[in-house]
Amino acid sequence: MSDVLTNSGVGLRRRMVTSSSISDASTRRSPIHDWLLRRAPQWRDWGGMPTVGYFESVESEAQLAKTLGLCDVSGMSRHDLRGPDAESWLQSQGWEIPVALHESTLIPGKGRIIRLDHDEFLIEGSVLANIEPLSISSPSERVVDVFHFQRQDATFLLTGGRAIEVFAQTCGVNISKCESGRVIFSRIAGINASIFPDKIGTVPVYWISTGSDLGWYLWETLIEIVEELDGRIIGMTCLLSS
Amino acid sequence: MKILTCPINGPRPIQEFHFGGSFRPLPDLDDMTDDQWADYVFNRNGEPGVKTEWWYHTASGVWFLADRNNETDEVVRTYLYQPESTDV
Amino acid sequence: MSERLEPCETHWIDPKCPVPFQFEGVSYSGYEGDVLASALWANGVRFHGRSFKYHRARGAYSMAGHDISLMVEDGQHTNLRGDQLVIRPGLNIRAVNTLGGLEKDWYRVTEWFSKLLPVGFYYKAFYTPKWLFPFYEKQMREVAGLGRVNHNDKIEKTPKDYADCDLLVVGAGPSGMAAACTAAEHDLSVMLIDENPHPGGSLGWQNPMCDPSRNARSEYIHRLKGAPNLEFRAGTQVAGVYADQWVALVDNRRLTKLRTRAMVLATGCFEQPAVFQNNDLPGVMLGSAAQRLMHHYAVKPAEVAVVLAANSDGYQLVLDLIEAGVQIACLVDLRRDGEPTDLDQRVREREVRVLVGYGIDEAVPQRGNKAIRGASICPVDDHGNLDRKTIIRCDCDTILVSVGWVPNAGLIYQAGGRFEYESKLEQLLPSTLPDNVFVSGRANGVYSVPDKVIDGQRAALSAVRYLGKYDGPIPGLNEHVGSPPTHPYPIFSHPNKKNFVDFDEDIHLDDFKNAHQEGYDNVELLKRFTTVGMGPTQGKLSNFNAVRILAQLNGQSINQTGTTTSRPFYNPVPLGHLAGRRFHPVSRTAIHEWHVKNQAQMMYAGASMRPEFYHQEDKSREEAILGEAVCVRHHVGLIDVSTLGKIYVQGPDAASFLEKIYAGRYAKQSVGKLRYGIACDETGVIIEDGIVVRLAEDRYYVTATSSGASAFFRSLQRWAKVLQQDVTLVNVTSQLGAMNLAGPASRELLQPLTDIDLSPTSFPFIGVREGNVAGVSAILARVGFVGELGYEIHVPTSQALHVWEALMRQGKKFSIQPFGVEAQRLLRLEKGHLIVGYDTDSMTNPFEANVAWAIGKKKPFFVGQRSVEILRKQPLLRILVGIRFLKDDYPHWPEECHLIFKNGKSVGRITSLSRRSTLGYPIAMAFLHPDLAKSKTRVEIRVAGDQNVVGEVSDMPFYDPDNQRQEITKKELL
Repeated sequence: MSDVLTNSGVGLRRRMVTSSSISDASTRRSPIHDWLLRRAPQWRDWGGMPTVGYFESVESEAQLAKTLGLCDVSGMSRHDLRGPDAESWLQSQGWEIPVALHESTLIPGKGRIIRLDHDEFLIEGSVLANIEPLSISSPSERVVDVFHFQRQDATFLLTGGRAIEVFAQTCGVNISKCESGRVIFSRIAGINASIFPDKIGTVPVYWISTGSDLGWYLWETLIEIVEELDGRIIGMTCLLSS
Repeated sequence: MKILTCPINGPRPIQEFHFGGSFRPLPDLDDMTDDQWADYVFNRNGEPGVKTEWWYHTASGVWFLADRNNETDEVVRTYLYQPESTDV
Repeated sequence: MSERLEPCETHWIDPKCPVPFQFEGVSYSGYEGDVLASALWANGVRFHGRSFKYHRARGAYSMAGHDISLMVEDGQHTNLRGDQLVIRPGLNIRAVNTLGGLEKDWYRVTEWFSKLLPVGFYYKAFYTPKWLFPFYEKQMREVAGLGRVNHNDKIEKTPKDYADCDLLVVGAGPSGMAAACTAAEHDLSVMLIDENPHPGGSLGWQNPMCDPSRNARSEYIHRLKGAPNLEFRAGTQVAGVYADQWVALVDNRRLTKLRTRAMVLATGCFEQPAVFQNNDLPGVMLGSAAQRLMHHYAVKPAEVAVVLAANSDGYQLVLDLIEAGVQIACLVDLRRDGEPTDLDQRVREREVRVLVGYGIDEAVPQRGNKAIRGASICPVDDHGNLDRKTIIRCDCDTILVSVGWVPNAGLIYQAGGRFEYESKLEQLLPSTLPDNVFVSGRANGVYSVPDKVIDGQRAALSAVRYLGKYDGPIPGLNEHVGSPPTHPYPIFSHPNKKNFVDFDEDIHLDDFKNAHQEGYDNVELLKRFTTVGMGPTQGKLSNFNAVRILAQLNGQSINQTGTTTSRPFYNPVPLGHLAGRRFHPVSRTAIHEWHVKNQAQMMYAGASMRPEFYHQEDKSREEAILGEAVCVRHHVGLIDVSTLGKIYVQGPDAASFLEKIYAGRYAKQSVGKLRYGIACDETGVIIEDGIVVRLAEDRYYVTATSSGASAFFRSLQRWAKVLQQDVTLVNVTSQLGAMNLAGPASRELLQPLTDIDLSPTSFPFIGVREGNVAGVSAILARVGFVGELGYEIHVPTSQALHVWEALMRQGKKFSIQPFGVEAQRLLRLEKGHLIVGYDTDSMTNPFEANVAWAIGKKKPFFVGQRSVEILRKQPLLRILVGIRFLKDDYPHWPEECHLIFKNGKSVGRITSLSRRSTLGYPIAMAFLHPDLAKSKTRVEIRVAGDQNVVGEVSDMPFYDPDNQRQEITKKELL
C-alpha cells in the first residue's frame, strides 16, 4: 500500500504521505483561463497553473491595486482538511491553530490556516511568498483519520480602497464592518462565496472564492462593476512587489 | 428583507438561507400504525404560534433550527440541532 | 412669458442657464433646476394635462410630486410627473392619456357622458354578457393606461446596491435636519434622506425669508455639511420600509437596499384639497404649491388670487403672495371664528378683503373649461354646509387652497406604527410605534418651526438612547395651542357634481354617497368600489377626505371609521431599478470553452451550460445527434458529465449511513466496486439516483443527478445529524470534473494513458479504480449508462481540460467524437435507463419506476422505507414501460408528456422519446396503466391536430438486453 498522498484534487483518507510523486505542473487551468487569454497577458506559472503576471505594466497595475483592481488567483493552493484527527495533525506540524470559528492563523512564510468547523480546516498558500502549493505530509507512518483534498475553487483577489463599493453592489453583508483575518461565507452576485478580508501592506484586499463552475460568471460580473468604478484587472506580479 | 441569525454565521439576509420545513422528531416506527405514519408524513400543523423550523445557511452549509412565530413572523431563537435536547 | 421673481437663496433654478425644451410640439425655455410644471407655468402655460376618466383639463396642483395630470413621457421613460421632472436641453415631452393631443383630445367627450358613468359603472356594465368581454377589453385597453412603452428603447444599467447605517432620518425639513445633526454628534452613522434636490423642506418654501425659518435653514444646512458621520442623500425617495429595518431607497439611477438599526421619520404632511365645484381646473391649487412655485422656481403663481383658508398657514400664504406682487381678491376663511393670532391683523393691514365663515362654492370656469375666471363664495351655515342663498362673486385667475394637512404616514405604517385621530389638531397622530421607530415634526403634529426643531432633537436623542449611546435628558413635546391647522370637513356638495375628491380617478363627492347607498360603508370596501386612492398618487391627496366623507355618512368618528394602510412604494419605481443589474448565475464546466470552439450547441441544464450536440457540416440537428450516438455504439465517444453531483461520504458510520439514505444495501459492497442506488423521501417518492462507489472500508464516493445535487447534499447533511451518524460529508461537485469515455474502443484508447490495468479481469464492469490518467490523479468507474464498454473518469476540475484533450488526441485513430446531452439521452433510452426528474415526477415511487430491484430486502431502516412498504402492498396505478413505434412518417410526432390513449381512454403519458435511434426505429419511455404493460400491447398517442400515433409496448432495454456489450472489444466487433 502506498503511503503517499498526492496533493491532487481527489480526496484521500487514512493514507497521508508526502506529495512529490506526480508532477502535474502546467496541466492546471484557471476557470477563466480563456477569458484572460483574450487580454493577451504576460503569463507566469503558479502552482502548476498559468497565471497572469501582468497585462501592460507592473507599475500601473501596482497603482491600480491601491484603488481598485481584480486579480485571478485561482492558482493559489487551498487544501481542505477534515475529520477527527485534523486538528492534531495540524498541531503535529508545529503550526498555530485558530481557536474560534472562521478565524485564521498564519503559517509563517507559507500561508494561513482557517478554521471552518470543530474538525474542518482550510489551509491556504500565500500569494505574497509565491510559494509552491502546500504539501501536507504525515509526521509518521501512523494512520490518521483525516480527509484531505486540494480545492479547485475560482479565487479572485479584489484590491484597493474602492473594493468595498463592489461589495455594496453585490453582497448583502456589510463587508466594510467585517474584521480582517476572518472568513465570511455569504452570497456575492447571487451565488455562494467565501470572502476573506485581508491587507497587503496598507491596501485592503479581499480574497473571494467560489465553486470553479461559477468562476466565469462571477469574474464577468465583478469585472463589469470594477470597470464601471474605474478599476481594472491586474496580474499577480504587482502584488508580489508591493 | 428579513434577517435571520445563523448560529454560526450571525445575522444575514434571508436570501442566504434555504427553508427546510418544519422540524418533526422522527417517530418510533415499530410502534405506529400505517395511518399514524401517513399522518406524520403528510400532515403539518399550521395553527398560529411558535413553530420550530429547519433552516440552512447555503454558503457555509449549516443546518440549524429556528423557533419562529408564524403569526408575527418573529424569530424567537435560532440554535444548532442537538439530538438530546430537541428529541423529546 | 411671465417674468420671474427676483433671485433668492431659496431658489432651485439658475437664471443664468436657460434650458430650451418642447412640450406637445411647442418650444419653450426654462432654467436649469426648473421642473416641467414650473417652466410651463413661467411660460404662461397652465393647462398641462387631461384627467384619467373624464379627460378634464388640469394644471399644477401640489407641485410636490403628486400632480399626475402632468404625467408625461419623453420617448424613453414613461410615468414622469411634471412637478418632479427636471428639464434638460432637448427634452421633448408629450402629455399622456389624450387622443389627438392635449388641446383637442377627442376623449374629452367622455365628460359629456359622465352622468351615465356612475361609480361602479365598469364593474356592472362589463360583467355580462361574458362573450362580449374580449371586445370590451380591447376597447378599454385602448382608452386606459398612461403612456406607451417604447420597445426599441435601449437598456439602461441600474445597479442596485446595499448600504448600512445606525440611524436613518427621513425628511430633511427642520425636524429631520435637527434630528440628523443631533444624532450625528453621538458617534453614530446617520443617513438623512430627502426626495427633493435640496435640503430644507418647508423652511425653503413656507414664508422662507421670515424668521425663524430663515435662521433655522441657514443654521442646519450649514451643520449638515459639517457633520462627519452624516450622509445626506438628496433626490432620493424612501420607497418602502420592510421587515427587520430594510429600507428601499430609490434615486434616478439605482435602488439602494439600506439596513438601519433605528429610524426617525420626519416625513411631514401633505397639504389637502378642499372639495368644491370645479376644484380641479387649472388655476385651482394648494397654497403650498403656489409657495413652492415662488420660492423654489421664482415663478409668480397668480396675478389675482382668491385664497381659501382654514388655518394660519393660509394667512401666512396671503402675506407671502403680497410680497411676490400677487393681488389678493379675497381671503375666504372657512372657520366661523376666523384666525385667532395676530396674522388676522397683519393681513387686514395689507387691505385684504377677509370673509370669515365663508367657503368657495364653485371655481367659475372660463369658456372651454381650461382656466378659471372667478370664485363663487357663500357663507357657511350652522351645519358646515354652504348657504347658496348668498353668493359673492370674486374675479380671479387663481384659487389657492390652504385648509389642512395629513401626515405623510406611509413609511410609519410600514415600519409598524399605528395612528389615532387627535381632534385638537384634526389630524392623525402616531399612537403606537415600534421601539426603534421615532416620528417627529409635522407628521407628529408639531407645526411651529422652533417646536419642529426641538421635536427633531427629541426624536434623535430617543433614537440614540435606544442605540445605547445616550442616557441624558430628552426634551418633551410641546402641546399644540390655538386653532387646529386642519379643517375637519372642507368638503361641499354641488348639484353639478364636478367637485372632485380624487383627482387621479375623477371621483366626485356624489360617487361616495352613491357607493355608500349601495352598502359600501366600510373604508376598505368603499376604497375598492370607488377606486379612491388607487390611482398613481395612491390617495395622497384623496384618502383622508374620503375617510372624512365616509365618517360623516356613517355618523361615526374618524377613529371608528379607520383608515387604509399605504403600502410600498411611496412613488412609482421603474421596473429597471427593481431588476437592477440582473444577476443570472450560469455554471460552466472546465471544458466549456473547448465545447464552444468545437461547434457545440450549448444548452441550459438547470443553471449549467452543457453541450446539447456538436454541429457538423451538412448535418441537421437530428442527424448530428444520431451520428454521435452511432459513433459511441461503433467506435468511441466522450461526453462531459462534470455537472454530475459528487459527494464523499466517510467515517466509521459511512456504510450504515448510506444504507439509511439509499434503498439498497452497501455494508457488504466490495471495495473497488460500484452499485446503483435510489434514494426516496419520507413519502416513498424517488428523489435521487446515482452510483455508490466504495473506495475503502469507511470511504464512499457517490454521484447524484446534476439538477438534484445540492438538494441531495443538503438532505445528507441533515440526515447525518438527525440519525447521529459519525460521517464526514464533502460535496466535491465543483471540485471534480467528470467525463465518460464510452464505446467499444474505449479500453484500447485509454490504456496507454493510464497506469491502471484496464484488462477485463483486472478492471471488470462495475469496477472502480484510482490511478492516473494523462498524468492526473483520477477515479475511474466502469458504468453502463449508455450501454457500451466505458469509463467514467473523475479528475480535479482544474486538470479536467488537460485530461479531456489528451483523450481526444489519443482517440483520433479510433474515430472518437465528443457527444452531447441529446445523444446521451438517446443512448440511455435505448438501454432503458431512467432519468430521475425526467422520467419520474414528484409522485413516482420505486415500483412505478420499475426499480424495485434496487430496494434492499430485510433492511432495518432507510428514509421512506415505511412508505415504500405500504406502497408495495397497494395496487400499482402506473408503470414505466418501453414503447416502440412501427412507423415514423406521421405528419405530427409525439412529444414528451403527450397523453396515451387506449379505446379513447387516457391510460398514460410519454416521459422520454427519440424519433431516431441507432436501432432504426423510434422509441419512447412512458407511464402506462399496469394492465396494458404487456409487451406488444398497442396504444395510441394523441399528438397535435387531434391525430393519433400508434405504438406498441416493448420490453426494455431496447438495446443489448443481456448486457454483452460491456465486454466487447473493438477487435471482436470487426
